[in-house]
Amino acid sequence: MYSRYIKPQTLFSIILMSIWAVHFVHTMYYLDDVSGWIWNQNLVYPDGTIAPWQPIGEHDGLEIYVLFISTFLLIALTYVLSAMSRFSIRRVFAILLFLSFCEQAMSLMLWFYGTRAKAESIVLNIKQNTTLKQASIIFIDNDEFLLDISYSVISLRKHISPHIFSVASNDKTQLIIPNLAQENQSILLNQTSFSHINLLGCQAKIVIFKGDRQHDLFGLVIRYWGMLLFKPYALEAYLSSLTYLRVTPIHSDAAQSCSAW
Amino acid sequence: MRISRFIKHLIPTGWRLNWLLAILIVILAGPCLYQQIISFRLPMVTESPMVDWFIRMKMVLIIWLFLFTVYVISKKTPIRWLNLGFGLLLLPCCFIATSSISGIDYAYIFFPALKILQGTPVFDIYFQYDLFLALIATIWIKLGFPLGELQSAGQLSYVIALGAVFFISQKLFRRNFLSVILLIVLVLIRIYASTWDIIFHFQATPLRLDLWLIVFVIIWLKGPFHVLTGFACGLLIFWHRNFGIIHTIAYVQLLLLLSFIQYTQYSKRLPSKQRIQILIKQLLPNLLIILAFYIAFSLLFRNENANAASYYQKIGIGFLPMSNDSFFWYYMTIFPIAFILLYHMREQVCEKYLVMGFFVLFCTIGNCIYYFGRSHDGNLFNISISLIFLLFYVFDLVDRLLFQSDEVSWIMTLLKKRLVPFMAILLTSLVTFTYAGQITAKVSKQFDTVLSGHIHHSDPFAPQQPEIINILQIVKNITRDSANVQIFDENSEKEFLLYFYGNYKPQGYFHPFTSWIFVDALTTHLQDALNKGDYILLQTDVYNDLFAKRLVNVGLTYPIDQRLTLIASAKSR
Repeated sequence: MYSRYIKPQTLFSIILMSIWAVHFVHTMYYLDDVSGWIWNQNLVYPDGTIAPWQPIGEHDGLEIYVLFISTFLLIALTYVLSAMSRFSIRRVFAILLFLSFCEQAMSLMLWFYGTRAKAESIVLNIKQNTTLKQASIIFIDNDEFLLDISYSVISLRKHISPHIFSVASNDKTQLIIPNLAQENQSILLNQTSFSHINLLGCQAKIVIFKGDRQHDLFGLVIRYWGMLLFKPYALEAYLSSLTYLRVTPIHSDAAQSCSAW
Repeated sequence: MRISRFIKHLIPTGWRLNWLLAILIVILAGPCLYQQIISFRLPMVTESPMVDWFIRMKMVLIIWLFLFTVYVISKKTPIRWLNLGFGLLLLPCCFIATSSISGIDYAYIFFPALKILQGTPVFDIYFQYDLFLALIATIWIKLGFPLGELQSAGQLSYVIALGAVFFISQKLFRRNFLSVILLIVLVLIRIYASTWDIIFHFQATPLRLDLWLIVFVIIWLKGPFHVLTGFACGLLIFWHRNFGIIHTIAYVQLLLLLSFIQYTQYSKRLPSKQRIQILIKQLLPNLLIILAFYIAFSLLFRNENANAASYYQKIGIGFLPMSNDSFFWYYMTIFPIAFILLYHMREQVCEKYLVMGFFVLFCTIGNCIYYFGRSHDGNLFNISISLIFLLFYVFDLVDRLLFQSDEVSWIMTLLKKRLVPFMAILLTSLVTFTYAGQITAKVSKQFDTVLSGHIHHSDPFAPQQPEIINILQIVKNITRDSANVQIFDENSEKEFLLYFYGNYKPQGYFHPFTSWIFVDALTTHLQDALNKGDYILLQTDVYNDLFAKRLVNVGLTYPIDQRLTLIASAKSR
């Protein structure tokens, strides 16, 4: 039986464990994007239902309850850790390592599956778009979709066409030509630096927006998994509603044969 | 040599150094990353006026000088004289305003008060900030005091709240000096560092946010299991619904924890059945009292519109998510530390100290709900009385922990004597240094206010305002002094003034106008008013944008001024 009396030295470890516990909750809350899911748990009404003077843009979902309960979980976690540290430091060390590992694994997993769902959605919408079907070069403008541009370009190249490029927001198009990309080279694409751009065929620029059913990362992955496991027949409809593409055909000399141009 | 001895001293007996280092690396990796993500920044620092280092250091020196003077005086003067001195010093700090009040915020309190005075049943009144504040405003209006002077009640509540925390902390804390620093930090943060004047928002005064102090004082005087405590919680639920429930939950948490502690203590002496009987006998009266008040409250305030009011939370109107770099994430570490220290030291401190400590902890967590709702860092100042009180409770716990240690070494002697005062003074200096701009700005505004011969600024609710008189005159002429006029203006302060000085009766549940949530419900209300033959004084742009095409049975419309239009029903023509 360990002593009930705290030695002054133990205070140091209690403070550190408390900081670690808060950090753990903080990471779970933001890095794993659980917060995004929590903040979206409000009733949503169609436009015009709520009086215009009400600030409906400001909302925090279930945050009040989640943070209130988290405070007590924090106390419990720190208490358990500090109590265990009196018996076995090794066990506390193992628990901290395990929790940190779980936290990082969850973070990675959410990012991986969230990005995959988003990329699949874009691929699906591109395939369904008649204008893009004819385009031999597609530029992806910087999107508000929070998709990692370089990841999406690589993913789309794999699924759609090798001629998919990202566009920098400052209007200077960064072209990564597939062949050159293999050699880790890139060039700035605009009329002056790459004068032959117009000869490359039908071109289009897409801007990716959040669709009607675009959710936070946490909610997205939960739904994606749910559909994969329990409702595979509804997955395609769900994925296509995740993103909305605005397609702009780009006029070029070589684009005369393209009907959409 | 000394350093190695110091490190050895920090390692608890039986711990292996390599394991300690490994665990430190793992544990410290978290905080380091934590610090990377959340930059350490005290709340609302960017809102504080910028001042140079010289002024900041000057402010810190003034605070140090003040502390030194208090320390010297406290050695020679009886404590009651010192307390009287602090009480007198609190008066100018709290009672001299640095700005005018927010008319819109006060309108949300005056509207229900006006409806109570006009005899509307309480279940048919919308209370944005609960009944208690509206009752104070009702009494204020009934006594005929100037409306804007209601701020004095808010200012008085600050004196009482800060005074109560100071006096009780003196009885609780091991060092009187810690209570003095607590009061100074409270004054600096709650009164001077916050962005707005303390009475700018009446809903942010201790009259709404710190009523837990009532239960706190009763527990202090009578104990946690006394029926008066349960009665106070019941009354809080009844008069002060949201915070009443929050503070009652804190009280119930306290009761359950104390019962658990007692249960484990009795285990050595009594059989389990007898232990449970004793605990139930102890808990039941207060729980029943609270339940009775809750049922009475539910019956009295039962109203179909009350559900509509709950949509504020369901939709999230006015709520803000917590920022990932909020200072609160740092403060959160205090909760586990406070709990673990209190729980482990339960047999080393007196019962009263333990009970008060746990109650302050649970109330502080409860008060944080206010911040969790609208997580604007400015709201941390509004609940700072409980936040800072808990922090100083932890300081005192650390002090007791060190003091009770029987280890004899030079470092322990140093820590025992100096650590806690040093931490408290460091905190005071940090606060003064960081908010020096805001503090100097507010103090100079207080001087300006006094020099102008007042203690308050201009009253937005003053009678005889030409604009209001003019509008009322036109409206009364057109309506031929009809009492059936309903006013809808997004400027809630003006809307209230028109109702109040025009002697009109607010109809319907939601007041002021901006508290309406659903357009359809409001349209129905307006249509009913027109069907009854009432006049509607409505904001012109709102009428044109929202209701011109929705309302039928509209007679003539009269533009009153640039903002308002009077709509007459086809019946009233």
